[in-house]
Amino acid sequence: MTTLIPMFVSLVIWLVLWLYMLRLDHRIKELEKNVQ
Amino acid sequence: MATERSGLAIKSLAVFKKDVLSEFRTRYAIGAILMFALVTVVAVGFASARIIIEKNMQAILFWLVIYFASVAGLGQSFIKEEESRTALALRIYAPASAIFAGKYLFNLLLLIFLEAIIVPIYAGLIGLEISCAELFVMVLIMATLGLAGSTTIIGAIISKASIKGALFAVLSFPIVLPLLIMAISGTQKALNSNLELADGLAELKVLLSYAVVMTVAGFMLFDYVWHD
Amino acid sequence: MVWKIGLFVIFVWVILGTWMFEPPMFGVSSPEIYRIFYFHVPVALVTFIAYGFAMYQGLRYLNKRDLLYDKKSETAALLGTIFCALAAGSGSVFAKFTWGTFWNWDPRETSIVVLLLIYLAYFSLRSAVADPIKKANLASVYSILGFISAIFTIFIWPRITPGLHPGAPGDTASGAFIKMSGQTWLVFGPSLAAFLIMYIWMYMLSMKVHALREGKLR
Repeated sequence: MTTLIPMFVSLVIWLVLWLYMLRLDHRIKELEKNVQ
Repeated sequence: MATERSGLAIKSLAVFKKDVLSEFRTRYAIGAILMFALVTVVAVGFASARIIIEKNMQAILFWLVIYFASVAGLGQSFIKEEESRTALALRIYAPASAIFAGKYLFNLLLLIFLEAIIVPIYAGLIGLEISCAELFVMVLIMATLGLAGSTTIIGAIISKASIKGALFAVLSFPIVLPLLIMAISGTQKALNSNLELADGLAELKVLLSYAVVMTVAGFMLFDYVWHD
Repeated sequence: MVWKIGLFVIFVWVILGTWMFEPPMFGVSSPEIYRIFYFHVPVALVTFIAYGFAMYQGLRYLNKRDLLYDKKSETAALLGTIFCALAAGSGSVFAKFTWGTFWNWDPRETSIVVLLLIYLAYFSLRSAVADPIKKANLASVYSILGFISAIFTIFIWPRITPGLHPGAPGDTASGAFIKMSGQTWLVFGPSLAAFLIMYIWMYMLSMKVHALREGKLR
């Protein structure tokens, strides 16, 4: 059971980071569209 | 082709000679190096009055002194051209390769001068006992060549920067580090008894390749730094 | 969009895989300590590749004199520095559990800090020069010198000086190159690919932001 905790922690960290990257990507796409 | 090459050699030597003469007159770099050597000699002398510095430590001290003395003395080789405004004249006079070669020779001379003073002083001060003289000398030669090569190109780089300050130390340290590590390791082997030239072969090979690679890279890249 | 989902899937696989598959052991009894291997080594590899990439952009600048290449070099180096700090940090944690202390002056361990120093020196140089063209020139030249030093420090030194890392001379457990079993590659390969793609994604986003800024200035 205790070995699963680090796995969940890393999964959560990764999920947060990945969502943040997606948000950045989305924002930049919006900016690019506005420029055109 | 022959005249071109001999022209290059002649101009390199001319640059070298000019630097030697101007150094002889102002004694700036030599002064910086000697002061640094003197300071470390006194400091080490005080520290080792009652204790015996272990052989591995002697090697480390030795190379640290040489490195920091070169930071004090060799970093100025191009800055003095910019400051005294002789840089333009130099650009007109000689091709980039000749200037690099001349400066390289000058830095090499400064290093040889430094080592000629440090080695006997340290031998006397901290009781340097060299077990394998050939290894010690070979390490010294290879490392000096490498040090001259890297300090020349880095000196050229910082002469173009606006804020010079401690930039030479910051830039040169990561570049020179592999050389220092191998030189220290090789010197430690030379100081320890029971070891011969063959044992330090790995370090010598690395030092030689570092010297060749850095000097050639510096030689080729110098053009981009010098002409902007 | 698809590849981003794919990246997420790969990373989930890697995280699950580090707990399902055993990492290379190097003579240690318990695999738990070593699981960080699947994160530490790929990140360290990516930071080295990043520096090589930064140097490559520097070379392209010296060739073509287009300041865009210099910007690419700077971006690559900036992101590489982040990965380098992560590699050094994860390496330190790894060291604490494997060898006892957070810092051991092992050659390979120190080499990642040297790489960090090279990165930082590169940025010190950049900030010390005012003129953008001079900055690009000098930075490109220094990136090449730094790369040479990195090769010596990362690939040659740890193979010569005895140390704690696997692959050093005197290491009987694994020999000159780490042999990874097929099972290990099942997690290591995707991990390396995932971090590399992550780096590339961050790089492309940074360059897009730069392009947008340039567009606004005109």
